[in-house]
Amino acid sequence: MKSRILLTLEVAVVLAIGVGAGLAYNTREGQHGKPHVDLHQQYFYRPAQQHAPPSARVQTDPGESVPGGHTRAGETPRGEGTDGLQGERQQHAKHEFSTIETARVEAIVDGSDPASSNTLIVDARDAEHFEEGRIPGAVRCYFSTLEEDFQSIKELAVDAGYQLVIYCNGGECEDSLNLCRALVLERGVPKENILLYEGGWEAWNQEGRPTETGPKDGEES
Amino acid sequence: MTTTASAKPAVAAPAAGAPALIAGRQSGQDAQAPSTPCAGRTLWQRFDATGFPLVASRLAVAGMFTWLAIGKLTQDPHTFAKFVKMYGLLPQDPPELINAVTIVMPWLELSCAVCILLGVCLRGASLVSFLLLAVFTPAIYMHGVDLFNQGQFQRLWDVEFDCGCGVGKQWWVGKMAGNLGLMLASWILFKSRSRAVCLSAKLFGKPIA
Repeated sequence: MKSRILLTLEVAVVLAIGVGAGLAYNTREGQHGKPHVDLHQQYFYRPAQQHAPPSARVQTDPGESVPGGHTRAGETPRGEGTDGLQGERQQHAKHEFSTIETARVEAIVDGSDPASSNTLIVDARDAEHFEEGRIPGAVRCYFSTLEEDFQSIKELAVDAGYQLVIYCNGGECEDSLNLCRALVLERGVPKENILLYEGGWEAWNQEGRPTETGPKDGEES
Repeated sequence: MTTTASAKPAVAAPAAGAPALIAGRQSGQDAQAPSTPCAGRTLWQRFDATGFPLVASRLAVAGMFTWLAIGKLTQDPHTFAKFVKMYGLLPQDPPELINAVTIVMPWLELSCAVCILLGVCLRGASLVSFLLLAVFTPAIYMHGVDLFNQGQFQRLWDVEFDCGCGVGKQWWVGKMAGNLGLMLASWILFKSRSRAVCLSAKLFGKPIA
């Protein structure tokens, strides 16, 4: 009996140290002067969720020309997953976004695609991966720094109704899908303006395609 | 008479726990066996008494847990949150569940590691570390099998992924073997009655087993 009480006490001490140290460490100011992890913040989005505050939504003029509202060559209609991708792995089994193939992304990057002028490529990976290598012209928007990163996307593309091509590592990475949902649910970006590049960095960084490295202009490393 | 009896206590009064065995023995040599230090002990108990299994397991578990905890603490905490979500052990709603595990887990590992290394709250810390491994090891197993079933890898031992443990991509088979080894070491720590090189033994004397 004494042994069990002592064991319970020991477990309680270990748990108390761990929980106390974790909470204390987390209250240190992270980015934006907030705790590193906001206990009440939903960082992962699902299509059914509708918890976006109305004030956070971007007002888009309904009469504005919105590219990407229809399916073009190289795109896969939303809801059909990656059926249209050839030679690339299937990653997100089910999602609500249109997808885009590597060949069309390549055409957008080299300017041969008609939509090149009104398309922004968004890298949904963290800063470390972004600086190690990215698709040329891509801007970074990581889900944990969405508040800060979204400003640049908003100014560059969202306000103008541009199309966003969003990618992450590919494979089992879900950062791009999570960002797509965050943009739609939290920032009011029209779903039709978003194209998910499922092959991602793994598919792009093959066959000698051009890449960019280092911090983006105006960003600190 | 008194002197003779005390000189051969094993013959006059056999050790408790082995009366039947002693009664059945014929030779005087066998009858004296219980007086040896290892009398009535299993092989494990004799090995445990050397203190080697305890110290080796402590070094292994504490070292590995420290490495894993530092790996998690030095990366973006939101990245670790992704992995907590990836295993599907917790529901996404309410978000407090995943976020709380993200905040606490590295420090829980570190507190286990420190307690085990110093030999303070050793049984409690080893039980917590065993339970952590018992929760996450099956999750890692299932995730590896899922990846294999998706056809991303040709052979099961080719499966490689970032398990979110804080050390980047790892071979699934190696990770499973490592985790099972750590579970065994944690169990040894929990069951061991030795307190070799333990701070608690120095501070409080003989611990309650």
